[in-house]
Amino acid sequence: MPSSPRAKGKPVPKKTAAAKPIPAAKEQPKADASTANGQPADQKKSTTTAQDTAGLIGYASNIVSKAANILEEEIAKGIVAARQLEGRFTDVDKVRDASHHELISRFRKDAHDIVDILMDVATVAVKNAANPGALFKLGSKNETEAPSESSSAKIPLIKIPGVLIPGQAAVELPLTLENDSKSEIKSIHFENTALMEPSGSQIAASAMKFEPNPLVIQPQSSGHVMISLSIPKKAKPGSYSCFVQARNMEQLKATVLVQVAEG
Amino acid sequence: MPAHDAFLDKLRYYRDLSTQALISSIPNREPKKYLYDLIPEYPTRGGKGFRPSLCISTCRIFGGTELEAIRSSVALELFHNAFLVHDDVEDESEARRGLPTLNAAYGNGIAVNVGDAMNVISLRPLMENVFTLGPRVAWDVFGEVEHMVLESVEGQAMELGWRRDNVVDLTDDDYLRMVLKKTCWYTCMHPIRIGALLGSKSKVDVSSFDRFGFYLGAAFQIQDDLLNLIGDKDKYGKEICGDVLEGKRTLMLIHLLNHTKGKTKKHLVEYLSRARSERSLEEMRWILKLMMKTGSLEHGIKSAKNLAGAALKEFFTAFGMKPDNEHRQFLENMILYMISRDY
Repeated sequence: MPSSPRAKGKPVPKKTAAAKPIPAAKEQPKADASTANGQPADQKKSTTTAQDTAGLIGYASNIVSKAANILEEEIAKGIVAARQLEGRFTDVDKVRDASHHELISRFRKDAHDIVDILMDVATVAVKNAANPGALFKLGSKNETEAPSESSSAKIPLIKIPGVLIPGQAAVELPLTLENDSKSEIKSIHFENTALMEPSGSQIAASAMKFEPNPLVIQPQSSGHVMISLSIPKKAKPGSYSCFVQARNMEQLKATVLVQVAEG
Repeated sequence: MPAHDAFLDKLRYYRDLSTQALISSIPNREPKKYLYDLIPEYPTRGGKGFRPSLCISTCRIFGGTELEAIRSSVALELFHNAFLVHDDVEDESEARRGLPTLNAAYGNGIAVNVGDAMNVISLRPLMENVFTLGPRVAWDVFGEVEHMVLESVEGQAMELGWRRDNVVDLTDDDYLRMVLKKTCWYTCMHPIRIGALLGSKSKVDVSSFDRFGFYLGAAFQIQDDLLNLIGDKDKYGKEICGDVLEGKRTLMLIHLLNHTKGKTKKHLVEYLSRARSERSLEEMRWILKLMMKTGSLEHGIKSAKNLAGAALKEFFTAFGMKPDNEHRQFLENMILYMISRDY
């Protein structure tokens, strides 16, 4: 397991040898910077030479010893702080090895409000991804081929965080998509159905918007799409769902769930 | 192509790669004029890209790819630039990389808000690490960043407190502790640690790079402070001797305070007790001359060199077992570049 930033370093060896100074930055009083190491200034800019290296290694000074001691002290302080912090957790390893959902929950518990809000978005994507690395990845294979049984069984569910109030400002949900293809530019045109509620209430499909639409992603890069949803003033309360998909892309589809409160 | 040119090309490439990714991470919505349009101001002013370069090259050394390191590099750059924006407000600085600071151009309120936005926006690439690196590595990187930011604000608090209360009985130890916290963790130690985590998929003990990163960062900061005193303004891009006007507790100023007595010391302490606006250019030049006379500049130069030498030694200890490929060579060249630069 990698150590935390507070992990202890190695013991500090004493350094005693002397060596040539390295090239200085600029002419300074009492120091011949332009000819340090006997070289013209422009040559000093060159990368490490064997002479430089030999001169530098083993260079000893009081300030280096002081620095080493201070680092040890600060790291030791950090270990105490880390122990205190980790004491609040029941099992750090368990948290670190936990499922995505547990991890994000852990994240949310300790984070600041703003982080909490942002993490909701990550939770949506992670929690609902059968394979998070592939959910929003667009490969170079033929997207029009028939979906396999397993892929069709893994349509992700995106739950809009919180409860939306009719007539209020649109809620926005950012999503990231990656284009794995080495050469193909992906142009993704999003579309969605109306939002349906089990008792039959509906919210028009136009309540959901995608920006940009289409989303164009260059090969080997990622793009962001912002899904915004406005609940009309007259919408009835309930649990609504709709289907979102990308035109002509079999693997890019999701069900969106949203809770609507009394207006 | 000469080795030095190849190194600079690579440095620029990593810088441009992360700057491009940083710009694409800025929300494309209002308010643009007083917020989002101002975020690229500092990142596109020709910074050197040390942090992303350290992160990406270390990631490559441990077998990772640029793509795996880019999000974390963007987060590092955003945090770094947020620090710069806030730093300029706190220090009342007027120039940054040859142009007016954000606070000088738009006022403190807007500058602070832009810095805040940079901090918040930097969270997203770290969150997106989950999708490409998996939750464990993403969480480890997040832990590194949390520690990095905390150390940096603690270091900044130390320095601001010294100036606020006009603390003048400082030692080299105090300076090194402050610079470890304020600069080294976020300029060198964490970029390297994060790069190693990314490349090794959290399998490497990242504390083995701490001494290398600390020595390198301290040498870098002392060099930066020296350039502020005796650099070429056209190359350096900041006010020359601005640190003296700000009363910044550099290694050289601490040395000077410890090597003056009587009326001179009294005058120096009184100068530092005043607000920046009440410190004259004449007194600033007097202090620079004093630093030359008492050997404070020489002490800074010598300390930077010693720490750089120690950094190179630690580099071979930490990376000596890794294959001697272009990525390791780049990192090695980075050491001399960082402390021999003149801008």
